[in-house]
Amino acid sequence: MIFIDANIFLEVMLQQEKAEVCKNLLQYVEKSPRCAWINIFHIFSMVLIVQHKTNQISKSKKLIESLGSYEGLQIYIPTLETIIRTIDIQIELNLDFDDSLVIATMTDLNISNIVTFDKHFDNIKGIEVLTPVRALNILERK
Amino acid sequence: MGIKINLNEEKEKQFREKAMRKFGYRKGSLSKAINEAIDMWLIHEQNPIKKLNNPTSTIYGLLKELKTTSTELQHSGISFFQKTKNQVG
Repeated sequence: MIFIDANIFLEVMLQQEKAEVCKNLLQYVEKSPRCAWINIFHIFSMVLIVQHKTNQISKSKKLIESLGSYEGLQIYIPTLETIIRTIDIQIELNLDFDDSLVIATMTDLNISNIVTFDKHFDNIKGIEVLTPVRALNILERK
Repeated sequence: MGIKINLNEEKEKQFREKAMRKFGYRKGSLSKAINEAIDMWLIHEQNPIKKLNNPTSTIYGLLKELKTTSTELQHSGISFFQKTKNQVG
């Protein structure tokens, strides 16, 4: 089981340098039941990014329809207790809310693997940062 | 009317502990917890969205006109929570 950070989806949307490897991972998640998690906060965040950066609300609807079509992607909705722990992590590790929420979510889900390009997760105890290629290898082995 | 289900041992243990902690160590606590869980599930499933065949291909290049990195864009997202409706085109 892996946690997928929003930047993996954004890399595909931006069609940048690592978009192809991210696409390969996400295409695996399309067909493999319950193998990955994302946080609902990241989904809100991506919707707002698409709406504000493109001024085309219809594109954000397309994003949501797509996210709802992954067999393997489960959406985590944090509880108030999770948000309290998020704030504690913010204070303890001096991270922003977004990154702290990811750590709190992964703790709730008992997941240690995150696929992300965000360097803020390097050297955090209990968190293993995976590249999209490595994440795909791990999922395919199971 | 009742439903019989199979749970793995660890999941059942966790469920019993949480249910008892929330509803008390008395008869009916498990039923209350299961009803709450089913209510939540029914809400989530009431209007399922139509599944797309190729979701990754659908979003591929959706933001290709932007000149930024995926991590910078992600971290800019939080600022959009503060903007008002009329700032969206």
